[in-house]
Amino acid sequence: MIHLYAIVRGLAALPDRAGIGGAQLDAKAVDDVVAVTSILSDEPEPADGAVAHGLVVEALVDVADAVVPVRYGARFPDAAALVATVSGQLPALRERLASVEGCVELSVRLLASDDAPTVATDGTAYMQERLHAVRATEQLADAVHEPLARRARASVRHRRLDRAVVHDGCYLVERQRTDAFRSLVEAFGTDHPEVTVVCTGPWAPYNFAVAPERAA
Amino acid sequence: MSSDDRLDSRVLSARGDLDGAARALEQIGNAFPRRVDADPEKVERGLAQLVLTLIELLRQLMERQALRRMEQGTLTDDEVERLGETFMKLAERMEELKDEFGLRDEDLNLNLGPLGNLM
Amino acid sequence: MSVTERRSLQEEITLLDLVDRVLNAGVVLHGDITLSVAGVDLVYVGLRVLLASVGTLEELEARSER
Repeated sequence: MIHLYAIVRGLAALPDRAGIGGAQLDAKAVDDVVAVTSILSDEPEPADGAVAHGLVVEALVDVADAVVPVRYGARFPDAAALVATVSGQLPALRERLASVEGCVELSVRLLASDDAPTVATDGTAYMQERLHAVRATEQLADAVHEPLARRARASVRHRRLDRAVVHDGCYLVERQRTDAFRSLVEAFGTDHPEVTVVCTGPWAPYNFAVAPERAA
Repeated sequence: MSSDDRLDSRVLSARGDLDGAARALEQIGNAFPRRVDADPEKVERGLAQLVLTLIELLRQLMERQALRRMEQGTLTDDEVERLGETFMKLAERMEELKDEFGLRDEDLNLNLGPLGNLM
Repeated sequence: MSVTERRSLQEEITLLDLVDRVLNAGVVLHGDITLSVAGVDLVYVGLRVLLASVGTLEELEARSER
């Protein structure tokens, strides 16, 4: 079985690390893009396969001009099957490679403690309380998101069921702008001690591996 | 896993309740239902978690819709009152059910994916 | 919080974020069948991969309970 990690362009050399199960990494050209793979042994999947996959993809960011991460689980019985699948997606992959070139992904999350119990005693008071809470949350999320989105090539906002997650955004940022980006987030955190702010990165552009859907 | 397989910290900035953040992150990534044990009590709990998560999703979606209409002014005062009562009762009932099954807020979570656009 | 505790919490957050990306983001390129409903890809993931992913998550849960 061939395991696929990412589709890349401008690969200087394969990273000096092993793939899942200690397998050697391989670079397979498919037209003008390169598929980074390794061979899976017949042994049962290691429990940390997902982590090993992620570490390979992160290592690729440092050695390639553009990296389109592949979600964990892409397996092919042989090279022909891999080439067939990748060939079928070339236009989209080329477009994505061009979009993410020179960029990394940064994640910014705002979390609030959601444990304020309701003080409402009737339906109308409850709705007003909820409306107030939702508006405040949305304002805070917009306040952190908008300046960051302006400084990013692209952004994605995830909507989460957990009400404690006020904002969960991913930003496609040019490498040379990551420090300025981080400073912005730090400043926001200082201005808003009432909320927990977590910024992680730089990551390979996982959330920009697929073209964003056009708004209806 | 050997130590050189570890990623150095990729936390660029962190302020506040990081432990809470880690707990929330744990659930955000949990796209797969928990592996269901053979133990009947755990099976019941696992299923309760799934069902309550879906109920919570619906409850939040409905509440959001109602709040939007309230903002737009397309609900009568009576409707606001009745909807509010209903959502309050639903929220109370959810708390009771969560307690019954020993579930916390973070246990009820779902990677919404495209459904997230509905929120 | 001691420096050691703070650092390992940061490593935990890093690992959780990495696994979230690997399992839930990235382009879906499968040798398996991909079903699509209303533009949403419902991907058939091989059982071995699924169990491995669950295994990774359980490992993370075990670590976080320390």
